[in-house]
Amino acid sequence: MSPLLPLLLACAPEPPQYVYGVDLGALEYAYLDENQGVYPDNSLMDDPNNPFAVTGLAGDDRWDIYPTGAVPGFYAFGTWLALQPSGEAQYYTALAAQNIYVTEQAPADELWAVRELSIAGYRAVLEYFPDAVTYDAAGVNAYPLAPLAEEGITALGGDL
Amino acid sequence: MIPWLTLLLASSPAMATQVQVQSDASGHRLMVDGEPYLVRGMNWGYMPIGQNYSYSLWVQDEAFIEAVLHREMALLQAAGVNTIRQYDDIPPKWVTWIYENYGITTMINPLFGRYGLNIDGAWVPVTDYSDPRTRQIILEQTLASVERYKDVDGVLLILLGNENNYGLHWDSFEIQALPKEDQDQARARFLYSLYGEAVDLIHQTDSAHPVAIANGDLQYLDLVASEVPNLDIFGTNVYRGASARDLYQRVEDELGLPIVYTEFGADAFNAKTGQEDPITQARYVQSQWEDIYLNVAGSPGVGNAIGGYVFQWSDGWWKYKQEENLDVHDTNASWPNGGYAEDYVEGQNNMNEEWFGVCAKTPPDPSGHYTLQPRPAYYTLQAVWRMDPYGASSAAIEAHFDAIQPAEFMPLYESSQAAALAKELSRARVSELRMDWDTVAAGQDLGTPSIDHTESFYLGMEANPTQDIRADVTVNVLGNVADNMINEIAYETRGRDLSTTNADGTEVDLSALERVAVYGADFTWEQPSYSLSGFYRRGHYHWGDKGDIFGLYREANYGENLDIYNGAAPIGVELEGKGKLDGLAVAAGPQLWWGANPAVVVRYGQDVGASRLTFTHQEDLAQRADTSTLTVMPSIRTRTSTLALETGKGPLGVQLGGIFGGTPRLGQSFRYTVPADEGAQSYADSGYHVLQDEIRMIDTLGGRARVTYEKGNFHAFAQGGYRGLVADTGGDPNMLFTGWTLRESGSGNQVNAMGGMAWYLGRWMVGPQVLWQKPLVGPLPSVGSQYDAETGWYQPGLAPRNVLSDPFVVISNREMTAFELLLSWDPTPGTWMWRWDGEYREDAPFAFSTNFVYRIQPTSRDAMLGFSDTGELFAFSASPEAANVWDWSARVWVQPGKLRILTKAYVGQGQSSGDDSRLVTRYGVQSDIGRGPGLVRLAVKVDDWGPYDYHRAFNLTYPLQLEAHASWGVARPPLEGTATRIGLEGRYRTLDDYSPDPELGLDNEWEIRSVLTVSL
Repeated sequence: MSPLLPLLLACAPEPPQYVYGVDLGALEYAYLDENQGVYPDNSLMDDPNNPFAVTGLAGDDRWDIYPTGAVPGFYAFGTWLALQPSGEAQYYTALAAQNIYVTEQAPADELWAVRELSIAGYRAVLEYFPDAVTYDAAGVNAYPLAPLAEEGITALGGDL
Repeated sequence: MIPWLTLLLASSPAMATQVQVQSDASGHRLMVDGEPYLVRGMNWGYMPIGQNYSYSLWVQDEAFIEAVLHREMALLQAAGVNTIRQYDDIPPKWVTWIYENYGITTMINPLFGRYGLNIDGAWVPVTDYSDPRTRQIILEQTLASVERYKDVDGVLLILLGNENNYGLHWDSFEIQALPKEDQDQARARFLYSLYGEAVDLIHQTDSAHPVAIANGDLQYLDLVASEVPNLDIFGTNVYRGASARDLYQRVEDELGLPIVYTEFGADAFNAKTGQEDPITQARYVQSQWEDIYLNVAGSPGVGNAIGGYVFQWSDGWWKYKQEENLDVHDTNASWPNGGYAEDYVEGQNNMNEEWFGVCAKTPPDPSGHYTLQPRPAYYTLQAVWRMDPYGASSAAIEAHFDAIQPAEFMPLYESSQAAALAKELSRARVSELRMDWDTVAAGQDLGTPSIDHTESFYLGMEANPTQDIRADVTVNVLGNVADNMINEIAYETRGRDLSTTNADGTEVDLSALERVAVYGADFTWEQPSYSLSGFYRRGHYHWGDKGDIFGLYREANYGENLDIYNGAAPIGVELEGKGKLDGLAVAAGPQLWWGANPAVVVRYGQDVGASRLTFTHQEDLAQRADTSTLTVMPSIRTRTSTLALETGKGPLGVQLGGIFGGTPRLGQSFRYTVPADEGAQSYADSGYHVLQDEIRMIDTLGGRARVTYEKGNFHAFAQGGYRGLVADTGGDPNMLFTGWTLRESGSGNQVNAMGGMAWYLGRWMVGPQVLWQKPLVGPLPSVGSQYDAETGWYQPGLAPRNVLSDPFVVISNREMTAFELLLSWDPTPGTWMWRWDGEYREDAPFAFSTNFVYRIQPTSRDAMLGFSDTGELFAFSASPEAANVWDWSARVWVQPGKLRILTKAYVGQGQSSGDDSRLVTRYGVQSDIGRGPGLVRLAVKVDDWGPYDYHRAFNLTYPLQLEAHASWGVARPPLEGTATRIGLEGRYRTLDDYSPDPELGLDNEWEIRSVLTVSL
């Protein structure tokens, strides 16, 4: 074999990869840092564990994904929060983090940090989006999110 | 003569001038090379306003000195000056240069300790001529100076000192021991005895140049006689007014020497009236010279006058206080002199030291050059010196002087002053003054109309600090801005009421922030090796005709769109090399063209045989992500180099170019689709497989080859190109043969081919053209996401790529086969009607141009950008479906009698620039009817988009748009800029479901506007 061949093979470009989608059922949570999913931080978009940072997140998909589990919900709403910041996206990201904590879907040594993330997310609702609302399933009735965020903080034992 | 001897003489230094004093019974003459020489001298110096005694012309660079000397010596020569007085700091080479170029000799003037002396390293301000060491140093310095100049061609005389007898102020024990009245005489004796020693020593060193002293008037003549027995010429600074009276006789009686005035003259300022009085100055000068003429050798006078050095050439603005107010032409008189009776008042000073110039002067330009305005004294001297006094009778001399009327020269001075003033004023002038007043009445349906008004003012200032530097800035100031215009976007829109809400809920008015704006600015700086220009909102051209065949440096002329969308481009600087730097150009700036990233573009071209090779490089320094209009897309940050070879032979021309660009995007990922087999599983059931890839080196390469053929009236071309995914450049910058619309897109990601011909058949021009292009990677289709709750499998949707988030897009490079036919008929082909400015240039009674373009577009494109309701830039999430589009347009020019009628018509089928797939078939016609400065414009558009970018982006059309305009002005409306006009405009639009705000249910909207523009 020519001694150059291994070098050439090493330089050969990777062939294009087919894109099939993401198995959300197999998605696991990975703690990044204390700002993960907390406005105005956008590090979720660089998080290699966030499938939506690569695949994107179209239209209202986040609503379909959220009920499938706390972890996909966290990444879906966290991505949406980074793309189009809103109080609603922040609230559901924090709620998903709370569910990860409560259902212990993170390694034990990271659970407390996830709880802190959730509290920080709720506080971001109060600080940055105090007038934010969310709607019922019909999209008709609006509910203010600030009281819900305060409830979340209280439920997690945080200080208001 | 033997040839080698001729050569030797030709290359040897010029011989020094032989100067002698000749005395006989008729008097004393100065003889130069054997001929009588009347000293028509000038105390010349070059001293810009703002400088003082510390300034020296001779330490400036040679080019500057030479430029100054050429300008000043030519003026001196024109006056008739044949000699100047210079201190001994003038380099000998310039003495010779002045003599050889202008025939003007120099009297070299060592100052003989007049203003102090450096004695063994210490500066002594008051020279003690009794001190042996001081005397030794003065003699050494003087002899060194003589040694330096004695063989220099152009030296006329050696002059020692300058009124040193007025500076005898030292004190010593010997002097103090004398009675008070004898002290000055004692000091003077030391001075004159030193003069005597110096003269003798100079004679031993230099026998070719007579020696003179510059005495203060006739003081100490007895000492001159006793202590300077070998003096050749008695020089004296004399300010006695119109006549020297007994001066000639006394010098003759007591010294028996020729006399030369080393200074004399008059100031040009009347201390009594406080006004400049150049005529009186000229009269004094005239009278003083008549005195000289009547006392030269051979005249009935004393016969010892040999001429004089007028004091002085140009005003010395530094003289009063000498270190203060150097740029103020001080009118303070500093000493009294009854000889100048016109402005003498007993007990008051009347001699204005700063006004002795025979010429006035302008402030210097930044490079130190100033210009002179000769006063009447200049022209008087010119007239005086036309006569040679030697051999002339006193009657002839008197008649000559009687004929000179200094007042007649005043208009010459005034005109040169006016010219200087005009030049000075032109250094800063009002370049633009424009005032727009509009009143708008607008309404909808039958509702009550609203009335509002707009005032917009433009003030431009141009500065020309030097002839090679020009800068111009125009500022716009807003008054009220109408809020009811149906054409709601204009340059003035920025000044509409702006407010924001504070944290405490209070409203803050921000309107004032936009009331004043820099409308445009530019500068140019011409240097021998380059031209430097800067621009802000002022256009510039591309480099296409200089070898930048891929248009890396885009043209930046945007017409009214720049104002409408308040673009802040172009902004940057451009350097074009000349001379040794010919072929080099550099441009840099934060937005060199609208939508550009901060960038530097460099071009270098060189002829290689019969070919031209040009390298161009564009380096984007940062990514810009904003734009003020959808007609200008932000550019993806790039780094691009191109190499172009242009050559030809006979009718054939060849252009070859290579591209290496887009390297900052290497490694960036992108997605694309390929069709799935019929019935096969596909991504989100879209019918496509989706693949992910990344930008590789091959994607940065591109190239183009073009062949042209031009013979007689036939022109044809064919070309083909390939561009990797990110090998973006500008579009083809050059117009080829005729005014075709189709051009090669500058976008990467395509392969293309074009061909066309332009055939000029008498008054006809026929120009068919065809273009085919196809992207290497097609646009991304819109695919909805899919989520399977049972499997948990999520397939996110796909949206077309966009310039904000993808490494490349398919927009102008979308797949297309297009045909174009340009047809023009023009009996005066020098101004072909197809040209963009044809309507302004056309001179035929009838001409027309028509163009038809059909584009076959089998696939769609990627996403364009839009502005949201809140003004944020976003990318549309979809694109219109694939569709073929076409356009036909015509311009018809008719000039019956004094009327000018230009009619533009169009019809076409086009697509939205946003995401709506509705095809718009639109048509319209506009006629401009002009006569003299009057203009009437009528326009009709049917089913066409509205006037702004967002109308097309959101596919907003009006069933009918009518416009009428009638105005009158002082001149025909110009091609560029504005003119003073007054007129009325009207607009009327009908609305339907495709128009803006259909939810309002309006049927129509209209406005009537009065317009008034006043413009310089």
